[in-house]
Amino acid sequence: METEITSQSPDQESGEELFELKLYVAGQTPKSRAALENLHKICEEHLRGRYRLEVVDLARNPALARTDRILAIPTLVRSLPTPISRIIGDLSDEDRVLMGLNVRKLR
Amino acid sequence: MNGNLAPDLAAELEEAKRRLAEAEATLDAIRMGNVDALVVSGNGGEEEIRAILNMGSLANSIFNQVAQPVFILDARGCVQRQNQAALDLAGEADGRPFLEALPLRREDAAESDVLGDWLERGHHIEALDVGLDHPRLGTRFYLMDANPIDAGWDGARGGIVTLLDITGRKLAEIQLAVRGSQLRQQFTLLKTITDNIPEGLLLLDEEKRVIFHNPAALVILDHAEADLAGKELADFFRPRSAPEAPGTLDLEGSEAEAGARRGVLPRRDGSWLPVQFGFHALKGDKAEAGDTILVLSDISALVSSEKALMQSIEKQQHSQKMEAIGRLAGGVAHDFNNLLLAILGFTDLSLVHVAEGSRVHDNLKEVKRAGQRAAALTAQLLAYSRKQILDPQVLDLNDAVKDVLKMLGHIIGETIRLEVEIDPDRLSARFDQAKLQQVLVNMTLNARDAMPGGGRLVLRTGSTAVSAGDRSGMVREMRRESEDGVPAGEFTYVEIEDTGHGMGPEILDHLFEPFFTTKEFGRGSGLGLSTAYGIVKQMGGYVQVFSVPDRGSRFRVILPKARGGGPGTTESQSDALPSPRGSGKRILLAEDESMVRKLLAQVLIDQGYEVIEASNGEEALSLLPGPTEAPLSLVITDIVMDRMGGIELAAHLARLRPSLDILFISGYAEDQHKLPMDGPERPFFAAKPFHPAEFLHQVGSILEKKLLAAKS
Repeated sequence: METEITSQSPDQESGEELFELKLYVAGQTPKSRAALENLHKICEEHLRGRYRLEVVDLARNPALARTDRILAIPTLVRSLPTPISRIIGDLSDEDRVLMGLNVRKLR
Repeated sequence: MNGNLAPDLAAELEEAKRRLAEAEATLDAIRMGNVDALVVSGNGGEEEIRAILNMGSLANSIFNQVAQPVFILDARGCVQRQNQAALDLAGEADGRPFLEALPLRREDAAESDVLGDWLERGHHIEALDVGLDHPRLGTRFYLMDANPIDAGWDGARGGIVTLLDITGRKLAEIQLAVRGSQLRQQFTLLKTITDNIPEGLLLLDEEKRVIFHNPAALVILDHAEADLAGKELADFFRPRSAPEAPGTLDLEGSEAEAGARRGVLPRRDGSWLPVQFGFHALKGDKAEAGDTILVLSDISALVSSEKALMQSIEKQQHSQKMEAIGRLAGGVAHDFNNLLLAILGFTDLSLVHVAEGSRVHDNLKEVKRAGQRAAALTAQLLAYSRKQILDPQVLDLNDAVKDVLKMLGHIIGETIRLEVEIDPDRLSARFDQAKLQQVLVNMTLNARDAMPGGGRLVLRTGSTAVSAGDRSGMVREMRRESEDGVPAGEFTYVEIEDTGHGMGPEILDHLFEPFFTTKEFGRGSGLGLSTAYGIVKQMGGYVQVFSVPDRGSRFRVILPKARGGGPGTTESQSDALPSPRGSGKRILLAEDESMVRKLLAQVLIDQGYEVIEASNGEEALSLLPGPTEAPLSLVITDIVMDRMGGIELAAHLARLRPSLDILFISGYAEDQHKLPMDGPERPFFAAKPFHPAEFLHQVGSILEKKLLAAKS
């Protein structure tokens, strides 16, 4: 369980870009849990069918932090669409998360 | 190179900027508390996950779990955050000015100025005492601490306010203050009591040493030193049962005795103070075992009032005894008077019928003399019982004194020499001889008692004139006088002078007060001189006393000189019965003593009166003559009779025969005062024993007066 990958099959018909997301957490800290919950909610609401999410537990393998130069936990990294962007925190502020991911609000 | 370099540099610059932005975002997130873990480099260069796991939520839960209300204020003084306790206290205050949100008690409204000041200047507040109205707990008291939070630049200045609930402590403090003041009050009260009670209090330890004493103890003990603390009781407390009793009272075991004991304590001036004292074991939490309290009372006032009460009771008993004897004597005298009236009366009647100079006549005269002596004895008995009425007549004072000399000689005994200085002139005065003699007897008794070792007693008569503003005739060398204010006029006097111990002012002042006596208890009644004084005053006279301690006393009885009516007026009256002049006038005679009734009837019949005899009031009423019969001229009635007495009879007669005169006769002198006094004139009264001639004279004069009244 070094790396847990949660993905949704991309919706080919939509023709829109695929979001490749990586959430760095440290075990079950409150903010890690909150970030995961919040991210699930946002993705299901705004990116349904066009994202791929990988959750990286640094508590199990701290060395993985090096890949994306992770300094604080939780951190969400969007590797696609480029450029790479990151959002640090528990992702509770939905507006800020959508802005950071550059996702247009549906409503 | 430049062309190759430049794009690299530009890319590196971009990369650096991106990294910087990332770092900034990371720091921001850390600062904002949005992360709970960091990735750091360990010692071996390996990554490690570190530290701030759960930090924010921990602080938050601590913040909320703190029981003290805590408010975080922003730079404007508005509530930025508040913990659960603060929420309970002030409600949701987020964004409100702290001063508005804080539920200050109205009484503590002034504190809001202090707080306002603090908010403005950012000063510390330490332990500010505030009362707040807690919505759920009511009024609570808090200590408020307020400290600025300096974020490094003025614009970010805020503050943290913590409130410590001290209500419990405050209440305890208040209770403590109240108890303290109660204790102080109790102490003040106790001190006031112990300082002011007349009883002496001494707190003693087991060794009988003084721990504490009050001021009264010093007064009662008459101790020279002001403080007895630490001294042993036995050194200064040595009561005796009485001044004359040797040794001191045994105090051992007194503690066990609940009752107080009496004794006397020596004083520095040599006198003895009667005291009451008692030992009481001290009880209570603070008391050491064996501590006792000695309570001391000055009972001198009590003792003297007890003594006075005892004396007063005994005096009263004595006086009651005298009264009883007097009543007895009076009763005997009354019966005697009836007998003597009969004896003397019948003797007189018989003497009329016997030739003068005959043997029978002489014998009858002896009977009469014996009867007269018996009558004098009766009079003395009555004088003793003070039931004799005053019978003032104009007499020679010298004769009265000579008459009593023999009796006085008997009274004074053999150790006292009696000298008599009788004025050669006649001393006419109006007085009652028996009474005056009683006065002289009383004064002589007094003089005798003043000379227990013998001495000289002078009986002196004389006359003196007192002019207005002059009290001459008084002896100047006498230092102290007790005298009546004698008005101007001519007086006779008789004085009794002794060479006894004399009297000081303190005695002279009380000399004539009833029951005042200097004699040993039980020896004198205290009535002798007061009776004498009363008698003299009753006769219109005065008493003067001259006395010098250790030199003697002189009592002078002063009587106004009589004008006209030579001495011996009564004596000159003949014992001989007057000639008959009754001329058939009817007299109703009511008398229960048959012997007396017979005598009086005989006397009246011999005088020519017609007498209707009745043995009591009822019979007298039944014997009243009817309208057709010859009317009554006079009713003579005894006062005390079995079936209807004289006074009741008189009341009936006043209704039946209003114009009828009544002559009351009685053996009791005081009966005179019971007579009805509502008429225009005093009722006619004759005291037994009377001489038949006197009696006839009185009857004659009543009838004559009536005759005169009828004529006019």
